[in-house]
Amino acid sequence: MIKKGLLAVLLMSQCMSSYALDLYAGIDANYIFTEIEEGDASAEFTPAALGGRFGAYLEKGVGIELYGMTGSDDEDLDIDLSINYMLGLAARFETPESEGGKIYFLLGYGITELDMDRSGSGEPGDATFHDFSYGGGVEFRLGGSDKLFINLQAIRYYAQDDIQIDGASLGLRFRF
Amino acid sequence: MLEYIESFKQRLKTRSTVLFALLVSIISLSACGGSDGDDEFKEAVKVNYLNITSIEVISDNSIVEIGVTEVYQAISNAGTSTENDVTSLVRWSSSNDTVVSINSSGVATTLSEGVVEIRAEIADLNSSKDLNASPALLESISITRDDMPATVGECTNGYQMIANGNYEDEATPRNITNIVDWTSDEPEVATVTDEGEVATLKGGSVIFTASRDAEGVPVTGSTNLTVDRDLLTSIVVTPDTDVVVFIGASQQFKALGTYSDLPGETIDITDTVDWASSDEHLEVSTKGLAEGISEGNSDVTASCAGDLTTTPPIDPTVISPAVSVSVETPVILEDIAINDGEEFEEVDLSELSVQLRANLVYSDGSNPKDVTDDEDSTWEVTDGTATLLLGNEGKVFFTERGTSVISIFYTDSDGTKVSDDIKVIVN
Repeated sequence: MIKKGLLAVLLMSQCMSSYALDLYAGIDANYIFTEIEEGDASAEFTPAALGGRFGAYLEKGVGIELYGMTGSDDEDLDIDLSINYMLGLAARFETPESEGGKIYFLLGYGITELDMDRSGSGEPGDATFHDFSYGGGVEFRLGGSDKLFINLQAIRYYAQDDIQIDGASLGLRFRF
Repeated sequence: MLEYIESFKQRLKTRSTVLFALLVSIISLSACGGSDGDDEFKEAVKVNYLNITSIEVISDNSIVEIGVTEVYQAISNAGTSTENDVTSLVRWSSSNDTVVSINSSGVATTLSEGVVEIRAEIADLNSSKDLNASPALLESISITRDDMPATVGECTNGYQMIANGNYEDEATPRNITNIVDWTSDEPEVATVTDEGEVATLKGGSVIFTASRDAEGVPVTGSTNLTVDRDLLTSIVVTPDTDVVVFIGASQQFKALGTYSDLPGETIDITDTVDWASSDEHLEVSTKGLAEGISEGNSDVTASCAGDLTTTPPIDPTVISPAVSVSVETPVILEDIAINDGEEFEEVDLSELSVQLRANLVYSDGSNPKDVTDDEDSTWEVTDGTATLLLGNEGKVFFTERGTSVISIFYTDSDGTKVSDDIKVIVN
């Protein structure tokens, strides 16, 4: 998996080094909704996370971006769950802009490391979750600027074996 | 200009390739989704949801023969201080699978001589207990009777016997109840299961024997039991009033016995009494489960210590009062009718609205239930524009002259769906 991730990063750097591409970067304030189920038992955690993204447009309305975040913790059932980090690579598809706004979709792959502390025992500790991620958002020009945008986004980062990790964010994106 | 177009084409081709490669990478990566700690996370949630603070492994023996099984239980001490069996939730392991293996249900099998640690784990909680698989020879068997007295009444069940094995060079006997062969010398008087549980049937004396082969030498232990036919004083069958069983459906009856040596107690003797139905309308199994066969009335009785198959037949010692059972054809939901099944409702536009009513129709034609504003009813305008529905209570408002079709859909608690429609003609 790491080799494939490196391949994707190489592809992106190749792309950026070869051409004078439209680059962009952004920061996001996230809520990460994590639900863990085991039979009739379930727990929900909503830690906050601060994230960033860096990307490039390959074509008009089509880009690739790297995203990452790190966050706080949340508690349920006397279990503390925190986000150590989340990293991912995604393809970005935007609709044409209309009245200063547009819809975009993200399709990618990400890895999330969570830390769980059950009743102060420190166990079970860290675990990583990697999966196909997908979602989208809406984005608007900020103050009439053609470089600064504000966006609302929802992404599913992980959904396997009765564990789901979803995110909702409010972010700013600057197009260089 | 041509140079620019060629450059643009090249860029387009290369970028598309990059995007294509990226999408292929993502799709291929998606097959690799997973986690290195999801089970531990889920166990932690389960443990805290159940409020488990510790677990303990328990079993009958810490030393057993080679080639036998030993059943383990994991007991949690929940925060409420009530004990919970979490045997099926924990992960079981043996420190040496070649000596003792253990399955996910906590049943260990001894394979060769040695001492192992049997371990139960869930989340970060664990407990363990040593198990010694020993080749020591069985020398004698003694039987303890738990709570079973020397004399008991007829048709009792649930009394437990324990077989204790005394092995060479061991001071403490082992519980070998589940590995000995149990027999009764008078199975018509009393029976014993493979687990040492006793059921009495009729008055008499019986000898129970527990036996096991020790390298070709049979080792046995035995105990006597007297079944007193006078101790059982009465049997009551429940339920005993207003019992209705539909054809094809079933009803579980219970038999409760009263014994003179157990004042103030009633004992569930459902499994040991003889059940009877007075006729063919109802069949009752040996465990008191009655099934409706045909319409009519039947009397159900439970009796003890009789045998009507012998010649002459032996009358039961005690027989319960008869419980009258009515076997009936089940009433099923057949239809729903708007305005008693009228096909149309003619109204005048100036009336503004009309209230429709819907009733359920049952197979026996009785008790039509008004479901006009029932939560399981759904009203819809399925054709026409002359009317509209506000709310879900069958009130139809007129918007123009013309014809509309109003429908109602109803689903009962068994999932049976019925519907009806009516034309509303607005003049």
